[in-house]
Amino acid sequence: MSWAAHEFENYFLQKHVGLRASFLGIVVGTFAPDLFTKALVYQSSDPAHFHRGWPGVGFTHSFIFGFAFAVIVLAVTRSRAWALGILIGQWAHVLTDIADTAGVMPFFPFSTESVTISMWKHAAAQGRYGDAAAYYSSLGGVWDLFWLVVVVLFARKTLRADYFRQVVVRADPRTWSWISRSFHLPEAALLLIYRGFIFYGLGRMTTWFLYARFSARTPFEPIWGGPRYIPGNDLSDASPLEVLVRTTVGGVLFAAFLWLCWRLFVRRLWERGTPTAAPPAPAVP
Amino acid sequence: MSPPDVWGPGQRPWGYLTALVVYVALGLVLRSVVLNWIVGPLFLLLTLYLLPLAVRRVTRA
Repeated sequence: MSWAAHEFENYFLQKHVGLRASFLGIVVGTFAPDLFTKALVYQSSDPAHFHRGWPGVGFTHSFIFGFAFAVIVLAVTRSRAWALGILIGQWAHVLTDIADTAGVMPFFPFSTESVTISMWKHAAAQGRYGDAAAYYSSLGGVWDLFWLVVVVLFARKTLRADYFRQVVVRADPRTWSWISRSFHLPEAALLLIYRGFIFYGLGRMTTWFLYARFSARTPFEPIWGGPRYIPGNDLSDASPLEVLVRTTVGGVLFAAFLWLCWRLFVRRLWERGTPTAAPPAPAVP
Repeated sequence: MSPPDVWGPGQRPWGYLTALVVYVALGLVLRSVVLNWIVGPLFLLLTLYLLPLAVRRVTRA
């Protein structure tokens, strides 16, 4: 699993979606796969399989979960910005979690094959603190740092106050004004909420890294497939070719499923939804 | 053309930096309380807006 990378990605995605999606929708989407399941994962007898496999809660790390969540939100709220935000955020989470040894089932239920590049070990079997120590002793911690650097280099404008005002709030005015009215918060406070997610990512990345080095004292092994002191926990014994074939078949069936849903009911839901904010008109000379 | 508004109303960089140092220090001591999905993202709001607001109201009263 990825830790702070999920928070940093939000701002990178925000830069690319601009006015088309709600930032808070993206945040809910990136939190969604682990939100209700993470506590149960640590109590499970086989955490990696329970977290990412089937049977288990591995379906939360599939594209269809994000699609279903987004469609329900579109049907209930009629907000295209929120539906799109949730879809993008959840799909980004799925793609990011391909990097650990447990992998994800992106095209569940059409394929239950785990897809992974085994960059670092899934270490939930060590409990929450052991998991954190292992993650920040492996390439996982480097992965978090990579995403922080990406945001600083390519998406730092999303952290500016004027960007928040002109893009983030305009893309989702109803939610931000509801937060402002309900909790009597001025713009300065809303800005702190907006920046709170990158703060949380940076804060927990730093804290868990220091915990791993000075409290847990786990060996720092930023190597492919590390750390070595954690036993391997790949969910599948299939060869790369078998994974490729099954995943391709699953992907084709999933694409057909999406097309069918679009034709049957999603297009109608989309058309009755609130249009996303339009970009400002060019100034008349 | 006006310069871009980077920081916005309220806090400046040192405020964020102080909040980060406090968060990391608290996180090392109170891991389960501080390092979670509710307190973490709202920590900036708590330390840079709500806490100063509460202090101002108490000192004014």
